[in-house]
Amino acid sequence: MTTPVDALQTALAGEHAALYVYGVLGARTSQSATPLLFERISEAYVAHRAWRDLLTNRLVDEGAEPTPAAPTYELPDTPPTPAGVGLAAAGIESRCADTYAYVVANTSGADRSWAIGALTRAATRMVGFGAAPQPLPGGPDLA
Amino acid sequence: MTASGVAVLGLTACTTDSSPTSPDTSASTPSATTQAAEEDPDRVALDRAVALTTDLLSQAGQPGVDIGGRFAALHTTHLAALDRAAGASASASPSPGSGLPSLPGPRALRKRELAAQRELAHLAQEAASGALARLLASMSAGIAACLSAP
Repeated sequence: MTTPVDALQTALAGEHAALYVYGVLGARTSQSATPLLFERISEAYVAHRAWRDLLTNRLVDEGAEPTPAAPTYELPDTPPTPAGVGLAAAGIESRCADTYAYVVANTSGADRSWAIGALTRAATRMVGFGAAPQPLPGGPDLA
Repeated sequence: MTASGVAVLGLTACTTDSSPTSPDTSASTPSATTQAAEEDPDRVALDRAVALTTDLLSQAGQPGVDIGGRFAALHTTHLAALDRAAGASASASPSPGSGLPSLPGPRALRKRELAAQRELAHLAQEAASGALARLLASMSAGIAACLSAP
């Protein structure tokens, strides 16, 4: 049985991974050549950093040891072009959406409320990075 | 160590329930499913989601409203998912009106979709079953994504 703390730990692990990959994608994005993409990558990085901190604090409040970040993460196999960066970013958000939906299913109250908001934000970010809107973000198995 | 943290995120549905709360009965209308709702606290939420989605699909089908059929396709997928979630009895359940305004035009469509997106998020928040909460939250996010698309 998955506990709410387990679900939050999974979400935290996802935020660590997302931050790492967004850091790399940021380095592949030019503020002058592709200002909109740069802005979206930056916004996503800041949002995921805030969620990482929120989840860390939440787990500490629960008396749990927050999952640490790994030294490195597997990077998306996409070209370092603006299109490739957008595709990779949409992929991150898609995987994050899966995680947030998992948190929705395994929590209640404020934790679920956060996860619903995070899922919605991930779904709209995917579209912002050029992906087609998914009918059931975070629940491809439900379609 | 190379941790495939992103890949780890792909998790399947979970049926774990936690701290069940009462569904939002204010959003429902009395129906023959009252007794079933007492037995299944999520029945009201499920019926409400079906009513909302059926209404959205019907209104999106009106000429000149849903350019490209994007929302019609979305709600068709959602109805199928709700049917699966409800089991065989879902389509037999009466669908009371959604209460959403039925004004014509693309702008009114966006208003209705936004209202439904928020209500589905609320239903997800209140669902007793984690699996239903996940479905409703995913539907809500799907509408938000569709609304944000250019």
